[in-house]
Amino acid sequence: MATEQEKTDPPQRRDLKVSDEVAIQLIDMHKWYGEFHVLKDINLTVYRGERIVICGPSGSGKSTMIRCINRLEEHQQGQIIVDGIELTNDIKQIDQIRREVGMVFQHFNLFPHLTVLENLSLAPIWVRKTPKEEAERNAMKYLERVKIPEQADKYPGQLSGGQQQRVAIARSLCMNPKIMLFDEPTSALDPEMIKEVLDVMIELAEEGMTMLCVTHEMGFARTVANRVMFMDGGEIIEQNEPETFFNNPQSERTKLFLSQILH
Amino acid sequence: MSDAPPKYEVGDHPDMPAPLTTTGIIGWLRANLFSSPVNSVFTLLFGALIIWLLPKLLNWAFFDAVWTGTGAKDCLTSPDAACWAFVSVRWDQFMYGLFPETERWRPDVVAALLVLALVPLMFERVQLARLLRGAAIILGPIFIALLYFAFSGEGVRAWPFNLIVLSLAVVALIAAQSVYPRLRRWLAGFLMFVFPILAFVMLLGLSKEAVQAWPYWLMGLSAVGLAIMALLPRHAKLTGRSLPISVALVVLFVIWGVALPSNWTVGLAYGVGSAQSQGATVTVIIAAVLTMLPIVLMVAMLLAPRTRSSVLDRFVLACIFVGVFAFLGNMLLIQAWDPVRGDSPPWVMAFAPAAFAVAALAPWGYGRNAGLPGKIALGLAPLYVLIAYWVLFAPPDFLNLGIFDWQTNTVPFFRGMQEVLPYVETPKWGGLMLTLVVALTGIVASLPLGIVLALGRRSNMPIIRSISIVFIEFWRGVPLITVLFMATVMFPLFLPEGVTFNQLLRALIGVALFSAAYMAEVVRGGLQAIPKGQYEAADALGLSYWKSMRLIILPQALKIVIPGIVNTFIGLFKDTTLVSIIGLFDLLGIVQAGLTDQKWLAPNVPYTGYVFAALVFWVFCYGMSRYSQFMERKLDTGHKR
Repeated sequence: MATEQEKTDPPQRRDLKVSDEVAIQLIDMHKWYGEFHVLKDINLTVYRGERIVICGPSGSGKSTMIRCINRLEEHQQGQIIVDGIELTNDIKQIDQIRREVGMVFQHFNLFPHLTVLENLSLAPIWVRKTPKEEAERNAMKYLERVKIPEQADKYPGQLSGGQQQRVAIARSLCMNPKIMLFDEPTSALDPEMIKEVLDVMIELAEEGMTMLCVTHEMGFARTVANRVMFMDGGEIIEQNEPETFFNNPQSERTKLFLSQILH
Repeated sequence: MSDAPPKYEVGDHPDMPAPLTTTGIIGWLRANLFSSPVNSVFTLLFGALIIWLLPKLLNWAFFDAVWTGTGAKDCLTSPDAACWAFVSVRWDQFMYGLFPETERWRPDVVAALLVLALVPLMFERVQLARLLRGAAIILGPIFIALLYFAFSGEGVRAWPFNLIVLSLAVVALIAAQSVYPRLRRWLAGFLMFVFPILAFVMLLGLSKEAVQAWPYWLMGLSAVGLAIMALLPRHAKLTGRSLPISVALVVLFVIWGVALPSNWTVGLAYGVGSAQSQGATVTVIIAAVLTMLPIVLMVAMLLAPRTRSSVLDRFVLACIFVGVFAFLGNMLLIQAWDPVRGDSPPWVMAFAPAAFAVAALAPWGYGRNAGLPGKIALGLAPLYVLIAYWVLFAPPDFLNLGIFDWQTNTVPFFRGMQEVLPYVETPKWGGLMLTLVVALTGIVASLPLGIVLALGRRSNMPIIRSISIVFIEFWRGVPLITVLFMATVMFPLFLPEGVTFNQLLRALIGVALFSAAYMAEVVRGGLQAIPKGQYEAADALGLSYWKSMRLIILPQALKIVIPGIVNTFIGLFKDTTLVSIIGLFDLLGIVQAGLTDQKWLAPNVPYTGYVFAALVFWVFCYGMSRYSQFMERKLDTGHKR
């Protein structure tokens, strides 16, 4: 699967620039929480099809940054352009961007009062106005892709953490997004369930999905990412292709961080 | 020592039965009644108390009680026990207050309809076998008791049979809806849209003024209906996906088209025509507003972008389109033939047929891209509307079917209805009927209003938040008695002279707003319990604020606060007794009024009366409490997150 392909075909996945088409652009972006300056002068261009892994110590602003991209957090200065649309206070543009950007959360955030199938088909029905039958058929398709079609009629509370996170990924995919954001998707999981979620993510990456992923799974970063980014203190300290990033980090802070998480 | 437990290999240990002392009746007794010395003492003490108290209670309520009689002298035959004769003689009054005896079938019918529609809705997905078994166990003894009551007096009584039929119908409906699930939608639709109007008309009846003002009622109803249609989610609106909605739309537009011109003439005849009568201008303004509202809504609907269209869809749209032009023509026709105003100038006469012609042709232009079935639907629509107009509203001297009476500006059918349902003014309402009217209106109004207020209080918009906070804190900070007194004494001071406002309506509004404030805080508690991640997930999927509230947040929040909501409902139900201080006789009020009767001056009568009232209140409140527990279990999807 993923690992085999990696051996036969690494350069393509490791291309720093996968395409010329810009998916996300952050220009001189700043964000404050009250008086606290969380994000400082962020400049980032994500090309379509890129898989970017963002790591950094807690409180470094990495989650906040990707949450700004679909306006779960508001930025105060600079520009964010997603899929050619600039994020402003205009509700219509925000909704338009949110339809194109899928997000997977650390704590899954499935809707506990709905069955798995209803969780998946809700947004297509109500946001994309897909007829119910079609939405459910589509939902089953994605459930099969994350390998849990048999759980369709269960409630999220009856599933294991790994299964819930796979449902959450499928829920985002049902909206047919162009970009996927992952906010520490495996850090709330038991160790034996991390792999099943990562496998789904790797498959997604191989299909060419544009992905921004906050994670500390360095194995995942090595296999999948074509760019790894290190953030600290609200700034992007360093970004590089994984090989160079892990073997030859440039800044002292990156070296320290890597030494701490890689033991 | 002899029977030492056998040893098993690790991994081979079988499941063993639990020790006898922890299961079965003995286990239950040990665990619950005699688990500790203190517990055992309490068990014995309370056992003794029950043994001492129960016979007294049974004697008071049943064995020594007076069951039949006509006055105090019968009650005095057993002064230390209940005198149920008092309740049985005054039963009708306790139920209906001073509602005229010949009209009491009306609240009965309303109550029966409510039970028929509501009870099946309350029990979803009950297994048929389980339902029938439950019905047999519960209803069997009740039927026997009812049959006993039917034949126990002189002659045969009808009401036990009615109750038997009603409960069988309820069981049949519950069974039917598990076979045919769409029935639930119809029941819910009936309960939400038809029942309130029906109950209102049935209970109040039709006054002469109401019959005169029938166009206003139709206008108002169709305006409300149109508003509801307009508020429906866009994909369900006018797309012809739902047959009931389409049918309702056509009916509404026809009603509206019929009501509007006559409304116009009535307004002219009664308003501008006799300008000296006070309030005439107001009437005309109200008529104008009601007239404009549907037009605005209709234009909005026509302009709304639509992605799908079907034959039915086009038919509905054509009806609407025709409605606009036909009503213009119709209005002018009426002007032309108006017996009050005499003949109109010839250009008006000429414009009317022209308007009809446009009405018939316009949809063809709209339906250019329609297929043949679509074209046929479009062609039929104007015909249909024109026929409907003609049947209902033909000019007085040409093919008139007598549905509209031009001389009096009334509909003979409604005058006939007035004889069937004579007006019963609200001061005559009373007893349990009034209690239920106040409580149900309060319950039905307070929940949606409370939800809106709770959302408003959590809104990001400072003005909406402030309004909600002020509203909630005002109504929560004032005792209900004050509210009711203010409504009675203060409120009329702010109204222009001569304008009166129904006493019951004031109480209803007061109770509804009062409990809405409480409800808002209960719902807010639920909203706060929903983790932030749920809001974020809904946002990230692109759901709008209202959709995420309706589909994600509120279902979870309301489920959490079911106990609080029912708590407020029960409080509201009991607070209805306070309306007695503003001169309305609810159940408690009418029982108390009965106690002052010289004929029933006996020491045990007050106890009996109060116990009866308490019992009735308890039955309703306990019912609500049980139902809330049932709902909690049903909605529990077995996890927290």
